[in-house]
Amino acid sequence: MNEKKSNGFAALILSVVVALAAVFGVRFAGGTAALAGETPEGGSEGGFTAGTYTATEAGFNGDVTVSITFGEDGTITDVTIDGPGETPEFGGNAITELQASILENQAVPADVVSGASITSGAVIAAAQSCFDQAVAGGGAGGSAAGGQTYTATEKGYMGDVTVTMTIADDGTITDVVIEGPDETPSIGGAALEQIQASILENQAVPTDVVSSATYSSNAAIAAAQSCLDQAAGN
Amino acid sequence: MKVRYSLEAFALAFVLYTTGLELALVAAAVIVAATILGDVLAGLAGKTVGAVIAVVAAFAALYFSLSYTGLGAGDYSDYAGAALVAVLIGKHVMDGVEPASTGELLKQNYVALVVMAIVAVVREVLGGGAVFGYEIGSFGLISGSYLSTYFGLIFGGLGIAAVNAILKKEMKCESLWVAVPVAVMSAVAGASVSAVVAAVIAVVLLISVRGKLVFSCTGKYFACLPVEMISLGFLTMMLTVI
Repeated sequence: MNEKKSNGFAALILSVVVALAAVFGVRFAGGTAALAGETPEGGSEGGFTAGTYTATEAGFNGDVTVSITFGEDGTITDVTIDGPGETPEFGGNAITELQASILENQAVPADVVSGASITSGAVIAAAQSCFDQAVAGGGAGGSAAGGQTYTATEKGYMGDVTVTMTIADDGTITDVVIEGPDETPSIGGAALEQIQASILENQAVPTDVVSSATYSSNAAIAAAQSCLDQAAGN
Repeated sequence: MKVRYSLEAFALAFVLYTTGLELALVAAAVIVAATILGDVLAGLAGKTVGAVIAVVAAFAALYFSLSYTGLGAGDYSDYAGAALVAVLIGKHVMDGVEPASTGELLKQNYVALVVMAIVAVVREVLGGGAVFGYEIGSFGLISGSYLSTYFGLIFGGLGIAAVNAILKKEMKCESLWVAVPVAVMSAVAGASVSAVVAAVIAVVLLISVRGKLVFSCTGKYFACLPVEMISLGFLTMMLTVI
């Protein structure tokens, strides 16, 4: 009986050691853990030009767009991550986790989320690009003069059409990015480019669709109007 | 001889915690430690005391591990999963088995852990093209569906059958101890009436199917829990259209 008790204790000690080794091994060597921003890519104190910066990377099943807003003191005040094509229960959950991580830790996450490595990689790469833009003092996809960025997505002809619109404090539309990766390049894609230019030039959402690209045009117009509605709400 | 590893707890863990190798290793190691703790305490202070302490320890350790490693979902499902697995560990302790040598105790538990890790590798590669959280590549077979609950049940059934075959164990067991927790988790995660309906229908259909499975010519290691888990997986897969 004493031998069995001591055998039981030996097994218990060994199993506890293995469990601790597994937990700490995963924590410090795994590809997923350490979402506490242990190795932040760039700091957010100084060195960042205030404004909103946007970047897009290819995710698991479509583009993933990240918009990060830096305040005057260099802190991240807002993060928007849009990945409409990603699997909701995996890529979608990863997007939610990473969005919270960036805001909480004020840094680009160092590691991917388990089970959603491709989506996570896209988010991290796009977030890093936003940081790089902010360090460079603004640039493509960014708004060094401040303002808010709004994003909306509508169903186009072949897939989603995403509009990212940056509106300055005085109400001026400073940047518009319209993406419809699944739309027919020569028809829907051309229409989206036309509408993008029209919005910037006329500082208003167009009312007429582009001939032969009704679905794509309607999606872009609806999404752009949604961005303006969001701005009006703020 | 009865099994010395917590069969139902591992079966549920196969479903919940094999979406990635990191998650599987952490969960399985904690389950093994809690099971052995319960067995040791049951021998010292009685089954009830052992079971209660094992349940509390398993729940706390599992939830803490998932939070500390960042592998948890960060919501109520972490609590629910940890609680359900802990309860099944407590059931194993309460069932009471004869004392075994250290070698047999560790062998059974760690065979189950290794098989669970292998299943996790397969699901993680097929589901996301990654191993241990590190992306290894992108190829045509990758599909997020492999990380769904129904594939967890199918792979879990195969995994339990593999463990039985390696350990050369056959057992009588109640698969509803796994089916009902899985249905509860699916219904809660779905957070909709249709998800609840699908979960209830799945369990009802499983009860109906179990009576017929008795007449099927499954291998002896697939009998009982493994084949019922696989059946539930296919039932759940078909019900996802709801």
